[in-house]
Amino acid sequence: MTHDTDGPGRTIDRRTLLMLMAATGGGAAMSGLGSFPAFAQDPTIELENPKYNRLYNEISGYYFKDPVWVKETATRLTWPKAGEKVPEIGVIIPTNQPDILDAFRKFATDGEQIGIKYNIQQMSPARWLETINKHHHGDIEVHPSILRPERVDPAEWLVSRAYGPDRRNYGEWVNEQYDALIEAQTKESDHEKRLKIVKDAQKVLAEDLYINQLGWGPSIIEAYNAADWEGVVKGRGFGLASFNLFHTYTRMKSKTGKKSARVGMSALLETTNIIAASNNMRSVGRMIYDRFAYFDENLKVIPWAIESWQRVDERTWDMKLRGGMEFHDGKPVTVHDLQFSLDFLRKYERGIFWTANRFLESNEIVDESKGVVRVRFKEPYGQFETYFLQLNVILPRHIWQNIMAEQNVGDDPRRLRIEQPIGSGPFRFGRHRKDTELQLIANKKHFAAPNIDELWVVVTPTLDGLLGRMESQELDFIENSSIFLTPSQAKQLERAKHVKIERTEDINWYHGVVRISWMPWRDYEFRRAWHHATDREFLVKVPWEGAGRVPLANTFLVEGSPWYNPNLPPIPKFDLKLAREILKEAGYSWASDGRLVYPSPDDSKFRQRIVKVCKEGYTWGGLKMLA
Amino acid sequence: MQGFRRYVIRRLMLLVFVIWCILTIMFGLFQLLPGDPTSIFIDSNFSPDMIERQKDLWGLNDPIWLQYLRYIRNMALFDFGQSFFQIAPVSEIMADKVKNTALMIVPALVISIVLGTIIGAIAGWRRGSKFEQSTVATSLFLHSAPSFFVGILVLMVFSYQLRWLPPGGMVSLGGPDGFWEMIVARDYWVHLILPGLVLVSREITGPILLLRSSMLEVKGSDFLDILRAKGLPERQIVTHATRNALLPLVTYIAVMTGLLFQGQVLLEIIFAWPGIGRELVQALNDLDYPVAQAALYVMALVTLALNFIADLLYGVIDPRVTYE
Repeated sequence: MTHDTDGPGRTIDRRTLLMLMAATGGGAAMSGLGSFPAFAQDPTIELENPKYNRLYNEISGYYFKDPVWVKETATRLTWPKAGEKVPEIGVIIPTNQPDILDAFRKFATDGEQIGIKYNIQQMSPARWLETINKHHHGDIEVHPSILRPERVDPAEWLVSRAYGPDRRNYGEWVNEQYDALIEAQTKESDHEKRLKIVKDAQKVLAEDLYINQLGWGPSIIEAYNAADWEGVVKGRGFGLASFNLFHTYTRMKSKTGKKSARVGMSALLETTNIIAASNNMRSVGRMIYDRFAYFDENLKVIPWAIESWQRVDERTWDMKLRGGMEFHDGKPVTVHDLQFSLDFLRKYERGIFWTANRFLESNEIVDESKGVVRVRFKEPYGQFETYFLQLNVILPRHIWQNIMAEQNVGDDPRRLRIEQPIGSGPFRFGRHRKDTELQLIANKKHFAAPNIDELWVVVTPTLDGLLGRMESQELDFIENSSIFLTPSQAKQLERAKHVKIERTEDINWYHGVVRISWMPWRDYEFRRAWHHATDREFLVKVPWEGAGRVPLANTFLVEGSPWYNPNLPPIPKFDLKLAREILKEAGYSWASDGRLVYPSPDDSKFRQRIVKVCKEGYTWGGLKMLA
Repeated sequence: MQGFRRYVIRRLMLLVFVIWCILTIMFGLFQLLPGDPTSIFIDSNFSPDMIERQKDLWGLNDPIWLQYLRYIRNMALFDFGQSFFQIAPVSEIMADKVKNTALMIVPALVISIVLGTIIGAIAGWRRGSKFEQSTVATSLFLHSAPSFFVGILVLMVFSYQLRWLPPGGMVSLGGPDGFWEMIVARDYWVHLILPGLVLVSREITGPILLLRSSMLEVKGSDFLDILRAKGLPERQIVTHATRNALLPLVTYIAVMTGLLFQGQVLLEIIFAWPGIGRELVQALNDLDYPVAQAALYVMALVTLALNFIADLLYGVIDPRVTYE
């Protein structure tokens, strides 16, 4: 595959040019113009396996069509000269993650001992997100896991963070055996068989040393007002006060006769249109609109609006709607609403619903009296229970059927204004003052009707404010997408008599993904040494104050996840001496200033490792070194 | 009168030019900002087609000159477009946030100006007295205290510990919502006490120190001797002196109001007050450019308008100022 210099040269616009000039000093931008021969020196970058061409060529402004990416990547795909030092390792850390900054400062100090120099930069979360989306983040992409129900499904992380053809595979790892397993698990509808494939995929991921699990955590430590409330539900991975797993709010009981609970959040809904929601409305919206199925506190799939489902074949399922359900405006929920919802969400493909429905081929009512709808997918589908049923919601047909035309929004449902969302969920949308408060009124007719009468969500933008209000009993809970307490914060809060601190088993992780397609990461031995030079215990013990676990293996599906593979190779231990020995053995040397120097360009073993990228036994399909 | 009219027209033309400059600079800044407005909005699951459609919808694929012309027209018409995330017209969002900020700063401003003027005038008149010394010392102390620190402190004491006052927000949960309903409600005034106190504690220092200095200058004026010679009581003489000392305060108030309007980001965050400052910070964090642009534009307009009014008032207040 060649990078067509005409492509970016002709498509670059002036805005991009200005940005590039500012970012790169001009050369890269000018080279994108094509009309300046002095700068038109874009290198030819190729892929080992042409199967991946589509990803690298498909979107304007990305990969081969992004002059910045091409320039940065080409530099790192150039064979090092004799005596060349290993370049600085670039890491960008979002400003809202000071714990990871602390950890990387320690890693950088340790790195110096084996000749690795880091260049750590901080960036606002929005800029960071944009930077990683464009793959402009340098050598290491750092990322926390933020759990949502659909992310319990193994494909969410295994695909998005490591599958070769996925844009969110920030390190551009292309291991053909892994990708084959990922494709197989997506299509495997038998749970046991899928579990086996997922475990095999995790093994490949761990063995190839692509991701580096820096810490499992932080732990879910929460405070709540135990003087007034009992019967809270601690959901594995979610905690007790999460709107993503909201069993506490439906099952908790008052000790004092209070019927109204207050939950603090640092930010509320940016929109009340669930289809446009990219933030809290995803979770709050599913308290208002019923999802098809849900997870219990042990992450076991449980029926919700869909009472039961039956696998017909590997592409087809029959779903039976729960009887006796009502929308909040009193209209009954019928099988036509279910069918309409699927039609609507499939027709107007957008964001999160699109991922759940892009594989859907058709749906039909097979038994109206029993409320059975048959869904058929385009290909064998493995994510039915843990993804499709978790993400989709039931929309009221009588409200939504003409809404696109009524609001004149063309084919973009993200532009719909839904002032008063009406669903069939356990809570009704009550009073809403943006950035201030939201009232969720209990739907007492719901099959999982809350014991309380109402829930007030109170916006408190600062951490101090949330803790202060908890201490002064202004809040009963703190929704945990806003904060997990540190042990010292928990200790401080515990002094208030009404506050009880609870710790829930978590399946969180924080990882670093290396740019494996680049030098020096292409060298398996370098990766191995780097893993041994990572002091994971420091992150867990110091920035996290012990509220976390030192990872046992390099996997996204950590111990506690239903998809965890306990037989993975153990995570490399922190041992700087061993790291140095590995590097020495692999042909690396050290300059007089202590910096690590690449092996000789004539070192055939080194060259072989760089070309192969993957560990022995696996096949690299990604970027080639430049000729 | 002819001169005044010419002056107003000239000032108005200058105002329009300054607004155009601000708009152009803002456009340039947002264009050069290291960031792609689509990247934060576009889910990484989006297909390339969807990304292109979204960019088309926002006009981001148009040539830059067309984007600029469209932007100038829209800003001139106060059509700020749609928020990327809030699925609402930005003008609607701005109107709400401006109202909320005004509900916080206007009462504090009035109290600061009235009290500050009185205290500053007395302090200036009684030069060398203990009152003057303590006023100056206290004012300098309050002026130097960072408002976010004072804000957190008063919250900790009066809300979290003593539980005398609410810990934030404009009204209690489920409290009054509409503008008029709110300002006549006791609940709103109770919620205003803490942020208002913090604001007044800082903003009052400006008028106090300014009036004191101004008063010192006026105090030696000949016209005061004439008033004394006419046998006027001390109180009336102070009143006359204060009126003359007020002139520099007019400009100061205009500038102060503009700054107050822009500068309450931290207080709005600490006191969970949904004003324009908090909205601006949130918009910049989210890269919600339409909201951020509109917020900056509104803030600039308020400052310019107040300065314009101050310029005009100068002539009205001080008969010595002419427009010829």
